Amino acid sequence: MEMPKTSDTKAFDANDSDGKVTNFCQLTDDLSKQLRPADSLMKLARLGSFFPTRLSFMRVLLRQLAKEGSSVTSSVWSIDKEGFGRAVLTISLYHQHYSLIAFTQPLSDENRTDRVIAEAWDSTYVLFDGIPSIKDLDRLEKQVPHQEGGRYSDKELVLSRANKSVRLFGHVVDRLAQGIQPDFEHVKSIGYLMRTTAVYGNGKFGISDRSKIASRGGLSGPFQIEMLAVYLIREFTHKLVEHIAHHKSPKTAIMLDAKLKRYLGIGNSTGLGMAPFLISHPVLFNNWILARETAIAQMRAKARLSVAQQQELSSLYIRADAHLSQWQTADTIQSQRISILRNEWKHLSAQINLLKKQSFPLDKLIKSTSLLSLETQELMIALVLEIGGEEIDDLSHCMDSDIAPRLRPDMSLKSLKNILYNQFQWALSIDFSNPDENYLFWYTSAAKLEPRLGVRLAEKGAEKEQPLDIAKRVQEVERALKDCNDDEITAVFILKNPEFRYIIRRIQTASWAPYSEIQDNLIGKDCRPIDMLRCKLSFFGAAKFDPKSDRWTRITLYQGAPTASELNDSNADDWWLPVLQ
Amino acid sequence: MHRSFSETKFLCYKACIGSGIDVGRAQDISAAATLIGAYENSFFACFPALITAPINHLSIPENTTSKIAQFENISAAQDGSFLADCLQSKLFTQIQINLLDNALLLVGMCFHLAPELHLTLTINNKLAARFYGNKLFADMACLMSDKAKFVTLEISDKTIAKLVELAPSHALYIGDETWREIEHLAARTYVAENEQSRIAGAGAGLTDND
Repeated sequence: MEMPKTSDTKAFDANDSDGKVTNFCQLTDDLSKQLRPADSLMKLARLGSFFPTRLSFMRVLLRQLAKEGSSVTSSVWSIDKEGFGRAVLTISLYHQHYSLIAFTQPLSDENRTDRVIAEAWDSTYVLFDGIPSIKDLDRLEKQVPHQEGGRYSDKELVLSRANKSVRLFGHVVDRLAQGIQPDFEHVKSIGYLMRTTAVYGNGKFGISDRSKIASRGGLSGPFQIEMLAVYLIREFTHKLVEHIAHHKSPKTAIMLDAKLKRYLGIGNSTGLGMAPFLISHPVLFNNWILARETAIAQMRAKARLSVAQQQELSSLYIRADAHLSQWQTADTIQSQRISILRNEWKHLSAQINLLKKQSFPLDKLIKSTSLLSLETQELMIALVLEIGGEEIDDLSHCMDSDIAPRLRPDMSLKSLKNILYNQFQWALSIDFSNPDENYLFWYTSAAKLEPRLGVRLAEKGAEKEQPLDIAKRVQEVERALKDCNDDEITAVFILKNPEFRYIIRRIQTASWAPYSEIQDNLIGKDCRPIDMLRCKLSFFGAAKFDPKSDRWTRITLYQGAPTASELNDSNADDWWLPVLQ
Repeated sequence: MHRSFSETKFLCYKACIGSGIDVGRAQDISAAATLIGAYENSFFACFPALITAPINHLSIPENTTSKIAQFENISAAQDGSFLADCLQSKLFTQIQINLLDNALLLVGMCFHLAPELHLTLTINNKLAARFYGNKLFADMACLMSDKAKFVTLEISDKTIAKLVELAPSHALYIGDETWREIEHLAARTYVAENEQSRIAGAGAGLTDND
């Protein structure tokens, strides 16, 4: 099946003036019918149960790096015995060099915070386009440690920072210095040496716009450049602990075991800033989901599995089971969900063995989970995708989009109302006269522009809320449209009611981008922003979600991924749901 | 100072919101400003004044059969998106304006919202711009003149008087004073923090040492 890359014009032209739905990814009819409907899929609870898949952005990137035979070199390593200084790691991809420039400095415990309001970090980074000169390094050394407070040029592609896992970082250094490997259980329970607390791309603070690198080989997909930066930060943390251990005890120090190194990913601490992205990029979000759902439909349509695929299915099922046993969190809700998931997963063993040899085995397997928890359903989906291999990998090319939703001013109000009543019942059914449904407001704090959530009736600032109140706006426009002449066109209605321009554009977009809206009330008391974070992070490829609240989570990136020296190994792409054994 | 397109667009969006413009138009104005600002960086100096212009209450001419609309005063920021809608929906094919506060932003709005149309803009009977797709042929000095009088914007693919095709720059340089003015308007969208919002608003603690 061919799914051409979308373009603004194509997406726009795919609709006639009456808003008739035409799938711009040009799915075959049969496959299109197999896609899960948006009204059940685009619920926060389900999106918040997603797992990483082989279409996740980190997996896509590492396949590219492996395909290109990329390797990492260190051209600058001016790090002192305590681990402070600057370093440069360079990787090549499609004949271009990209350099991670790292700066490390001492940080007191009271200043170590993962919040946006932080002013200092254990380490700060930029991903530089090319190989930096000494002049570049000197310039950036004055800026990068200040992060948002610095100014950058279009030579810089990504800006980031990371804090140490105080427990594990010190432990690993001490053990390596003593000539022994870190404690296995300790590594397993934490899983990273440092965690990033922000990864800025696309023009932030003067760094390069995405458009500069969007057409470059290997980096056109969403978040590829950011994922590359994070991958190199992980490499840097591995080198850094070995460096400090060596200087601590040159005679006894050893290198970190390759198996542990592969297991040690890079942590990430993520808050509310990630959630509005899914709302402010409806077409991009639609494409992520559409590609994923298309892959699922393709796998479900497989009449038979080869013997090798049957074996892989069983083997990955067992791996997933082991992974679940290593997934730890102190969060009560997530703990309960994991507990149910572990139990349900264990009971699927017989189903796997029974169904894998039958006709349409993957469809049957997915159906067999339909009455189980959402976590189990989505883990089964991820498992099914994992055995898809090259059959579905090319769908990653359909996941990018720089399209902004466009207004169709010529659309009749009759057509507009049709879309609204057919696709936005989820919004119309919410009772906003109930204060609990109008409970929260999303805003940007004046304190370092940190994204926050407020309680509407208890806190000041609701008049400055961000436009994430989609359902409420849908109801408002529905009331305004109700008595309007069906023959009137959208342009005329908007002239009289300009405040509805934004929501009408979204409604029209939903007619051809069915997965563009999260179909839940994002300002209700029951809204759990963590679901949006997990959804987005699963597309990055994150696992082991460890919520700290309903609006904050820690995760691990690149855990189990090949290190730079392993990129060309035959099993380089085999790191779905890694297990430390 | 050098500014990325992305940060410029986002700051302009917030400045529009801070100026009381609705979200939909703010999205269009910021995209149009960044698009057209790439052709003439000095445009941004007038941006704060344009988005704080008084609200115009436009009404549609009663007779739409002639496909020609006439307006007295037009604010490019406030009304530009509507004019582009009119042309794109073919409600009108020609728009005549007696007084327009900024021709360049109006071109940007149409350029952004209706790229598939071939449009021409004349000021006082002089051809000032012709644009379609991602091509802009223009007399920039004419477009930049303050308060354009007797403006005609129409759908037309006539290749009439020659204009030079302009190329957008790949970088934006915006004066610090201008940037501060836009930032000042954007800052109206931020909520002042208090101890409660600092502790609870982000859903995370204040230190992380584990």
